[in-house]
Amino acid sequence: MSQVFDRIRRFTTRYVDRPILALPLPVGIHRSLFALQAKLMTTEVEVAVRWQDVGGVPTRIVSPPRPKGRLLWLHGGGFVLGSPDTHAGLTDHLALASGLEVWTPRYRRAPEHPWPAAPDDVRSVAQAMPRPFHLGGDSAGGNLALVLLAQALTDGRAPLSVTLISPVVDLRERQDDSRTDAEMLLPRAFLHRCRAAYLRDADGRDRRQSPVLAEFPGCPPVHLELSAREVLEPDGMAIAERLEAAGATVHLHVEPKTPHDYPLCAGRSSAADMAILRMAKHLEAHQP
Amino acid sequence: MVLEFKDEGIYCPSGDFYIDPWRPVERALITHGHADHARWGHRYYLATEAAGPVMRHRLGDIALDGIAFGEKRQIGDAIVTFHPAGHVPGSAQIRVEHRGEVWVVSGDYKTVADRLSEPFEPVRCHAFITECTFGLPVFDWEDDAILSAQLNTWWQTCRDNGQHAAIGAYSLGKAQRVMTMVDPSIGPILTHGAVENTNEVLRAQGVPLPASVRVTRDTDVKATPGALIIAPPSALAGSWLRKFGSVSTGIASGWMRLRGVRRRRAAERGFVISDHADWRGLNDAIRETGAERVFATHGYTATFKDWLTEQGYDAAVVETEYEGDALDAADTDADAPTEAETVT
Ligand SMILES: [Zn+2]
Ligand SMILES: [Zn+2]
Repeated sequence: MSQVFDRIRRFTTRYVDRPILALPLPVGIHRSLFALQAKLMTTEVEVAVRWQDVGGVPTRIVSPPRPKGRLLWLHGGGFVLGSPDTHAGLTDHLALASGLEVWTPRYRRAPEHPWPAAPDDVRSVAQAMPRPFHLGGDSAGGNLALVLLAQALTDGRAPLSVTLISPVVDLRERQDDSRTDAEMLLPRAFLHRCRAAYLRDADGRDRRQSPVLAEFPGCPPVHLELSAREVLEPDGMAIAERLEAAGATVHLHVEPKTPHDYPLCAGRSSAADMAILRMAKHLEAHQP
Repeated sequence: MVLEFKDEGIYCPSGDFYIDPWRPVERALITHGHADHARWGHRYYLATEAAGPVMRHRLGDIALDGIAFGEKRQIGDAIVTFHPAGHVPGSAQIRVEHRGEVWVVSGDYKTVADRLSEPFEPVRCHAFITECTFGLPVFDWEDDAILSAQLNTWWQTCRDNGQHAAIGAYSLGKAQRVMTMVDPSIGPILTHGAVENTNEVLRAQGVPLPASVRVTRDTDVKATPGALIIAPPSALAGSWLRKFGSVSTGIASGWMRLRGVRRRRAAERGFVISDHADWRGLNDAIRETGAERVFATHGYTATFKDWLTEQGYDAAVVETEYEGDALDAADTDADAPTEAETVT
């Protein structure tokens, strides 16, 4: 079943999801469509969930049986879409696989709340969360995780480990943007709209916008999951280099024939289930 | 190869016998009495003494020979022993040795001990044929003490609200497991006929179970307020439950870890109670066999095989006709979770 799912999804990603994302629909409609689709992409699990105010930000906390620690996870969605609920499949499967509680804050999204609302929210959550914890995020959430990581390292409060899925690391304007050629899911127009909504008048040169420009002294071990030939593969490679240069151990896994952020399909996709296992193994290996 | 995979089932050429075959054969060694493993129509059956009564009850007058756990039996050129699998009373893993090479067929198994089945015993082998019904990391079972507390709290709350608590549980194994987990001082336990028939067989062979009362047409439901009703899951959906009036329904199954399965079943409560190994259990069991070759049979076989390969095992998927933890397939009519949740 799950391998069949992977084949079908390659098709629907190209011919359904991508054309929809390319449409300049109102953000509310994109959000609803994404929320609907997110439910179909994963197998929802029954596991203890509570919502809690953490540093002023409502945060979804999923607890596996006998939790052994905590993971702060920042969800993706181009800073515009997505929520702890759309990413419940990913976070809940990851919680059960790793044995960690996963905390997913509902940070403020663009365009209503442009940068720096999201990184500010994430920072408040990190300051209020019980320590120590692991840190991770997917896509735009990977950007927020890296921004937080750079701040935390400067403050001398390194997380236990870092787990990233196809992070957005560079929001600077690019003249020669030839990246979208082999991308299955993300149309260039969508990326531009998200960037514009998030940055509003900023140019992306702040390291809290483009963490590829940040410093990562004393970075803990990093696990990085990318999709081969996705639009964000060069972003992933760039940050891997940057983190390695800072002295971090970086495990890189590039999965062929999968769309951007495919681990969201945990429970339905064989490839996603394997990604969950790799991430869980990384998290377990860096438990104190 | 000590064992081969044929159309009829798992075959041992040196002993000319099959293990849990799904087509009629001359000689069948059976791991346990669940319908997808113990099928009708074989000429000779061999199973543990503890599994025998249930098999006779389900399959009728079969030519069945019993064997004790650990007892050595030479069949042709193969040496065969049965070892506890911790799945249901009498359930076994079957160890087959030929010229110093050892293969083990797990049947269905659960590594964590309960108060019902003979506890699982790891068996060293060169090749291990394992189920992986719950071969995804989301399947992570709670300790029995916590599950017991969940069941008892639910039952007590129902009782306090003047309701019956009705739980769907497979009639061989799961139903009795639930009976050993609840606190019988909360109220009476009523059972569906399919469950009580199995209870009678197990009690007769000395399995200790709390008292239970069979629900019949004459059962006066008003005389048993706040009872716990145990029935196959499919009975909860039908008209059988109607006479009990106000009822809170729950289902006990590993599949309750998946929200969609509980919703489709329209059960108010899902109790994640399984008689199969969870993800960790599967991994622990495989490691403890010391096997280099692992064959995955029913369950999330594709993902599980990939995972084992990454862990350095020589792993393969074997197509079988076992059904995994069908919620209640063999009890009444086949009504397993949809393929999205069962098999890959
Ligand atoms: Zn079974
Ligand atoms: Zn089975």
